[in-house]
Amino acid sequence: MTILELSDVCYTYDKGTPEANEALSHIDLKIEKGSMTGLIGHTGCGKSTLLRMLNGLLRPDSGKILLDGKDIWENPKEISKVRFRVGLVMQYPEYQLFDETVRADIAYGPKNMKLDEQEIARRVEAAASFAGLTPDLLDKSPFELSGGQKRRAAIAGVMAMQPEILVLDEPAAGLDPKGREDIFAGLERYRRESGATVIVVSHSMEDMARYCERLIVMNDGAIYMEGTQAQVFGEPEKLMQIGLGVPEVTRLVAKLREGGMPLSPDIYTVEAAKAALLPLLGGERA
Amino acid sequence: MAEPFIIAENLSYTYTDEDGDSTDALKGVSFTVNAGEYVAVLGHNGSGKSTLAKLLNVILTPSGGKLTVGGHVIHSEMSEDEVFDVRRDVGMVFQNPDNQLVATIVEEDVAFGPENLGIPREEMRMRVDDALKTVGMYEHRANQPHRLSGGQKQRVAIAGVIAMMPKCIVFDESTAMLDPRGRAEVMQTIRRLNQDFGMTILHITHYMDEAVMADRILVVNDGEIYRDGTPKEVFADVEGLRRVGLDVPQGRELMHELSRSGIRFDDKPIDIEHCAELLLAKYNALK
Repeated sequence: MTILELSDVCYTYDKGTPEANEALSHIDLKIEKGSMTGLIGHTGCGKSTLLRMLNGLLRPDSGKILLDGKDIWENPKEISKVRFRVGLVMQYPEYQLFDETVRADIAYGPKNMKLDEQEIARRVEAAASFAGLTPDLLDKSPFELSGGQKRRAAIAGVMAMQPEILVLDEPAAGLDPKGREDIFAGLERYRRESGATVIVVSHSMEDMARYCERLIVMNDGAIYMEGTQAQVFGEPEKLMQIGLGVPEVTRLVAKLREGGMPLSPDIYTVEAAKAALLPLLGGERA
Repeated sequence: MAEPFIIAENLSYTYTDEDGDSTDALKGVSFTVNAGEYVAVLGHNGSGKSTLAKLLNVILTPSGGKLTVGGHVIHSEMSEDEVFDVRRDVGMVFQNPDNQLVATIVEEDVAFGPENLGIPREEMRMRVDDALKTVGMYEHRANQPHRLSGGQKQRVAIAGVIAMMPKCIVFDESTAMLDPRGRAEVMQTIRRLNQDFGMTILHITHYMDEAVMADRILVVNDGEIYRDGTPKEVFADVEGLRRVGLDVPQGRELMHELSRSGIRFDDKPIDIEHCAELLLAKYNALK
């Protein structure tokens, strides 16, 4: 079932001035309810503009954004309600932590939703757990946390609003490998257990391959490629044309295929490569 | 014979916060970096690697042990002139491209450092042009920095450092905020500085695929040197690196996983070409 649909969405910054800059050009897109979609593209490709469209921070010049089949701009006065339904985690969100305790910070969103105390407390704990923050961290000052913990506290603050769609702009940027893994594994668990839809921007094809079943590649304000992992990673030349690539293990598999090994080209993770290679190398099936 | 440029002997650094609580960021580390060497520094967030970078540039001074950089011993009683000498030898490029550019025109930004060194006008013109050519930003010399991409801004920041003609550049997660294209641009620039100009490079990064390009990798963990070796030596220990919150390139990870399932290989390569060779040899031998 489609939860979010963009239909012929266009947007130009500084429209009508000599500085006019077309950021989005005729975007058509459908996002399935409960899916995890990866959004890929270089700086300036329009993906941050697109993310701001999804929760109504920007309004399209033309075209429609449909949430559960309803145009989010049908009644512009109600747009703030859309922001509770589509939660946006910006880049480096930890810079926005401000409250005295982690608990109070995560509770900020639900409080704005005018929920009762009990419900707020319940949501804060659930969100902290999804984000991988242990209960003892909740009563600390956000400034006592490590970089990765701060990032996760900021994400928990958006999760606590229980948006139907959680949108994150490079949630793992600047983190070490363990920190990246914690973020993505937490998102995957959140999606599975809460049923929420997740849209995540990342530059790491390896992370995309592990966690996102559908991929959208943007370039120059337009959708450049879109589809399943097989559809997108199946065209490495097309990705390379815009300075992107496929996961390293997929490049390795391509070399093995060239060398005559009967392998499927649709191998995007180390786990999948191991399972496919073991029987060919005289090992047991994984 | 290569000369040592950085010598750390039992080097330690302790942070003390306003409550008087102290944290040992570096706990007596010893290593040497030779002039002209390209060394990557890996370690999880909070491992002590950024503290190390700050000591090299005298933003911090050692709490214990001895640190020598380009013949200067780094200590808290250094005169302004001595600090200045070290900073002229060791340039730093930081993470955020937006916080490092100060002027409104690219070439003025690059000239900022040499201007402060009191370099004569003609030589400065030459240095600025050369530096911009080295990083491939010469055609952008008259542009405004805020109009550039992240990778281009970082390259201008690097040009500003090169124009000071340091012997060594420390890159403190300088690719972390860039997209893949920007990362590739900066990595290519780093490699050129090392190979064509013999500059000593210390590159602190979270990207294993970048660390692979160095001659040598130092792994810092909890304030100690956990590993010191060539990329191949360091990435041989997959389990150990995972324990300290790091990762290995995917080809190496795959070979490791296969060997855990009983398939033995004679070597532990990290690049996919060599991984493919070994895997194909095994496959063809069984056929």
